[in-house]
Amino acid sequence: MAPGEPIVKDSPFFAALDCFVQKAEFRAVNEASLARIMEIGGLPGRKHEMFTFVRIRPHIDTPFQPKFGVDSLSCNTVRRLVYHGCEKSFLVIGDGVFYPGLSDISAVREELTVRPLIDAMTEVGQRLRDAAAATNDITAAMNGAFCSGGLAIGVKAGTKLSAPLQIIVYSTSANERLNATFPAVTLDLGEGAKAVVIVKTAGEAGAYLSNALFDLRLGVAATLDWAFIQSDDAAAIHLANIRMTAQKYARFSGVTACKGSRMTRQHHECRLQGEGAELSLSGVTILEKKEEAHHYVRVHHEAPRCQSRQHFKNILSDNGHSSVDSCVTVHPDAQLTDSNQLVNNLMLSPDATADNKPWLSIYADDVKCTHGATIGKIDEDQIFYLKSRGIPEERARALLTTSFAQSVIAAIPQVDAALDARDMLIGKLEAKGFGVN
Amino acid sequence: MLEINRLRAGYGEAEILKGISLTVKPGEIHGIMGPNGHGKSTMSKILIGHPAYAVTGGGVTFNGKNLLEMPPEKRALEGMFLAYQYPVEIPGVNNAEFLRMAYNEKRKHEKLEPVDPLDFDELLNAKMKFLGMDSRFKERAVNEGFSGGEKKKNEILQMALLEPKVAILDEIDSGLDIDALKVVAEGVNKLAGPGNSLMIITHYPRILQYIKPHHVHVLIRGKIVRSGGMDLAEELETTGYDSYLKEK
Ligand SMILES: Nc1ncnc2c1ncn2[C@@H]1O[C@H](COP(=O)(O)OP(=O)(O)O)[C@@H](O)[C@H]1O
Ligand SMILES: [Mg+2]
Repeated sequence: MAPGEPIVKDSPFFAALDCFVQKAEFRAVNEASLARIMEIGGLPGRKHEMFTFVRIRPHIDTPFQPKFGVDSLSCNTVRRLVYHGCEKSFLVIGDGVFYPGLSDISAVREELTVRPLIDAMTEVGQRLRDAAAATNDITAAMNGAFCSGGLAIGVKAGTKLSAPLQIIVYSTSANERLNATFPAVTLDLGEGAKAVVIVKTAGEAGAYLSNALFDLRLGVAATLDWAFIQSDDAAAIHLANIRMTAQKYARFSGVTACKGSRMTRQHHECRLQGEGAELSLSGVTILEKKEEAHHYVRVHHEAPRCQSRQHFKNILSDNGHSSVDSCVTVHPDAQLTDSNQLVNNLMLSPDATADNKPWLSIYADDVKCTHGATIGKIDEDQIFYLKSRGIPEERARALLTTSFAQSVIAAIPQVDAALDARDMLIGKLEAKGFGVN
Repeated sequence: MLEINRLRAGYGEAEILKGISLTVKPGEIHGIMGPNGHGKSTMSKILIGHPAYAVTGGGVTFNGKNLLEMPPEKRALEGMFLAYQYPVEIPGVNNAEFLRMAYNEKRKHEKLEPVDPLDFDELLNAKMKFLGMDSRFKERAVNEGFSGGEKKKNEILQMALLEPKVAILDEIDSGLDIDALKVVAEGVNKLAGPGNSLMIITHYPRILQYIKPHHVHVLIRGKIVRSGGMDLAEELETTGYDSYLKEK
């Protein structure tokens, strides 16, 4: 690990700690995280291997105000964010705190357990603490250092959720300061359990810092269809850590759709721990102006006969900057690993930047691993083919651009969430004159 | 309908077409024959406005208008159509949606309302059935992973939907087995009529047994070296192109 710059006592980070009102239930996690921040050498500089493509420091070492709970959040605001099909199966986190009163899980009440994280710390505190003590990611450690709320969700063995569960993570913005929120969500699927879970992050217009952690555990033969719709305000800083462990024959299928923002970064750390576990993770990002969106992905094959598939697609215009730094590690016992990683970038502007680093670290011999990345423009032969059928140039370009994103959007496991992602992403293209209709 | 007048064209420095003249009248079927590499595909792509080629001399009029000045999409809307020798694959674009989009562009050009999607689906089903195309080709991406024959059928399907005035079919028989060829030829013949014209490009005379041309031309080294009727095609079937290639 490249050394970072030590956090100096008068840094904005420490100023935030000074005014941080710790909750007793979270003390152990907060302290383990802070100790870890000191241990890993403070705030990462540009040479830090985890932030090769991301200038993260200005977004962390900036004056911010840890915030727990919203001053006001109306039912109407929440309603607008709830997907059709989730009206009776959604949970609301507002500025880092779970609001049962704003949530409705009547459709699935018998099928899962939902508790405010603060009430579940006796059960999940240790694992959050262990993870905090081991993380190399400053953003995860930061979540742990300030974490004071969130959700603990459990789906019992053999249970299939009869409706998709939506988790809304909402942030508010203030003029005079940068609101910062640090919720954590634990989700445990028992043996053979099945669930569709959609996270939607959103917030008020303006700047805020949203740093959420998701700790997902899939028991034997559990199935999780997961989608993450990042629709924060363009001025927001969006940081997310998604940890996933899968036991034997468990299947995780995740899609992350990112609108991007001033700084968007997601870190997926996935561990296939039981034989035959499967992971599929795809991402779609559309950026414009000076927006950024970065994916840092670590997939660990720790058991034999596991399969992982990754596919990230980025469409970049103006000065957009994306990166995908994705490593598949095949541990010594993980024979017959089957993995692939693919990153496709569509560049609409010469000033945009797409950094790609799909790579492998293999310690077993009988494995099938592939990886690749492409950076391209719209194919002119395809444009001509469409034009020669009477389709005007602009529509041909729009069609090819939107369809580039569409294959990942179509993988979102819930209809209305897929439509939302489509509107959110394709809407940006349409506003730039790439409209098909 | 289409008048090609001493057309010269090529790629950058290389001149491929060296003065082609050809008049295609409404209702006529022309067979353009010649060995591989002599400029048949180049000619067809120039006629639909492919940007890779530069016209260096001569001209083309289409219904009295200067064809070479029209952008490709305009040519298509005015009724020029090429069934490509090598149709491009367009991953991610649904075939049926693409077909409907093209169909609606044509309707728009004719100042008609967009087609009702259900009506279009019916129309599409009927055309596909006639061409012996499985309906799953509606849901596939345009040409992606299609076999050679399936791509050719998809080209003819587009022709059947767009009903062009001048359709150029470039090696439409390659990749088709004899049964598929008969189906495709039947489809093409059905579209032929007094108001529209066909140019059948082929290096292999077989297809002209099924789509009978009124005129046959031999294109060698970028020039039409001989023109005739159906008898010329029959002659080429037995003699091949050797005698033309020897001539300088
Ligand atoms: N993209 C290209 N760039 C340069 N030359 C080309 C290209 N495509 C074809 N040619 C050349 O143009 C000539 C005519 O090709 P083409 O029109 O495809 O012949 P045909 O269709 O009669 O087989 C050939 O010599 C071929 O090599
Ligand atoms: Mg050819």
